[in-house]
Amino acid sequence: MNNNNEKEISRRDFIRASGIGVGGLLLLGMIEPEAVLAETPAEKAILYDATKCLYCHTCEMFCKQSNELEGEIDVDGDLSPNTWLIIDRMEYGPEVGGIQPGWLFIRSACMHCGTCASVCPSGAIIKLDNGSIAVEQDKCIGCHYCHQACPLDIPRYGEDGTMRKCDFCQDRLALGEKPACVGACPANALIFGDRDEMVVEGRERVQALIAEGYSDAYLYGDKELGGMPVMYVLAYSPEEYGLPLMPKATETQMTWRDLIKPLGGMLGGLAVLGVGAKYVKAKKAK
Amino acid sequence: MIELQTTWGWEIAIYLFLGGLAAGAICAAAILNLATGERFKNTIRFSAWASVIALVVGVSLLLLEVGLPFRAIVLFKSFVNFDSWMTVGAWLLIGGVLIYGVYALAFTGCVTRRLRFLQRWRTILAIIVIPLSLAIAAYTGVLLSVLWARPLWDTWFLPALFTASALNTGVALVAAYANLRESGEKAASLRKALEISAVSLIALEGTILGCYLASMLSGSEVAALSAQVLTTGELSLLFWLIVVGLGLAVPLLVSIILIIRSDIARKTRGVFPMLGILLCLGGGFTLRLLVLSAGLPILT
Repeated sequence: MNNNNEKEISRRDFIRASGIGVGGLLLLGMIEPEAVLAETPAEKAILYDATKCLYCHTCEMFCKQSNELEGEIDVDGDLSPNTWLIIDRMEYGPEVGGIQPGWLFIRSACMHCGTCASVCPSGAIIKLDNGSIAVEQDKCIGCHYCHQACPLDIPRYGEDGTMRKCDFCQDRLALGEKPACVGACPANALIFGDRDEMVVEGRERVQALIAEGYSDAYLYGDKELGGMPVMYVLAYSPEEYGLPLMPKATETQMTWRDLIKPLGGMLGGLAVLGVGAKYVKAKKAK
Repeated sequence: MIELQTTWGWEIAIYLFLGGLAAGAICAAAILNLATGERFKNTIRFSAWASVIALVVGVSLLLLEVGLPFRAIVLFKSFVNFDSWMTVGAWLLIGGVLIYGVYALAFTGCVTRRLRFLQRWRTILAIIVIPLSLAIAAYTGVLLSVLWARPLWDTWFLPALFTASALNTGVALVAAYANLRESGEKAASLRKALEISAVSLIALEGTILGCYLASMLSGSEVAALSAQVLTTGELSLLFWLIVVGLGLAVPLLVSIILIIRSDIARKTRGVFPMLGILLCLGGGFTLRLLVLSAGLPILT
């Protein structure tokens, strides 16, 4: 028995109090169960044909207007919380007599690859059934993990600290309309439809480019990360457009990560075994 | 001109450092507990409380760093996607605070007088603490290593490096107490054991760091460019001087000298070993800060 005046708290009381505390916290957490990633294939897709783009900025204007994003467009600007789409241009080809032979145009906006959704701790970034990636601002905590994960440097953060990016015009899609940028394009450089059809269309355009002599023509987003809901028809290799080479879904470099969670489970299992062994030993000693 | 990674700055570097330091210190304390029983309970108590405080400060810094700290602090709503390593890590760290906290309480006299059964839990807690702390130490590297869009981080060398560094800095923290407060013949053997551990861990960390850099330098274009920022570029002076020189080489030398000539610690009233320990801790933090800063995006 305890000789001190202080009252000893029994193990049972301690465990009971701890249990009530932990149980209460768990119940709190269950108030709003979270739906995380929908494991559905991309159904819809936007196809951007860099070879048809006129650099007219109509898509940028309609993106701002449709999504009620403040500010004017800045043709040489960068993405921002209020600019979800810009068309970049870059000089291309060998300089001859101080004159650059041509320009390449490339769309800079979210390609909805879903890398951000897989790392978002708060479940604010979710993959929708149509394959696109949406952000629920009221859940975002502004940790910037999505910014670190994004291969295309897309996420931007508003004054309230939450992430902003292209949302695939979900509101328009719900009304059966095309995304604003696609509807605005006068050159047919942006088209929208079922992803299967867009892949067929994109591959045909690439084949036509190769037949024209563009041997490095490429459909970017067709296979990358298992296939993305936004694809680009490119006349040259992705690097020429400043696009990163992305891993395919089955790249071996991804596999070691699959080992981590089982390994963690094994460590946990070892701890349980250790505690069990200690318990058995203590019992035997008695 | 290369644009360094600035989205995550010193707050996250401290978060990663403290998470590792706490894990390393309590892991060393738990091993000490299992190996020697309660002979060094003061060292164990100090290490356990230091770990709890380090984890609390670390998690607080993570929460303060995010754009919406008051939303983030409601962990049950803000860390719910368990596909995300940040979620796994946040909960591991909270678990760490709780388990390390109970372990620290089990060595705190004024608590065990009222909760006597806690003393009987010490061994079981130590068994739980070791894998938990290793998981937390590794997590600090995994958090970055799953980001394939930053090639310098996209490797299993990073969790290995941060785990080795965590154990290295953790042992240094335990050694700090052992040097300053433990006395007697047995304390001398403890100090020697800690110095031998330090030498082994510095050698391990140095080897992993070397392999990591070699693998990055011979890797993809951006990986090599990022590694060059550390080895020959903008951060090379800090890297070679603070991380490699002062953070690894000098502590290694100090520990080797102390193994050979243990009387130096007494003659310098603990200043000599403390020099190695403080440099080791500074090197550990700088390592994380530089690895964070040099993590160039794939779109470089």
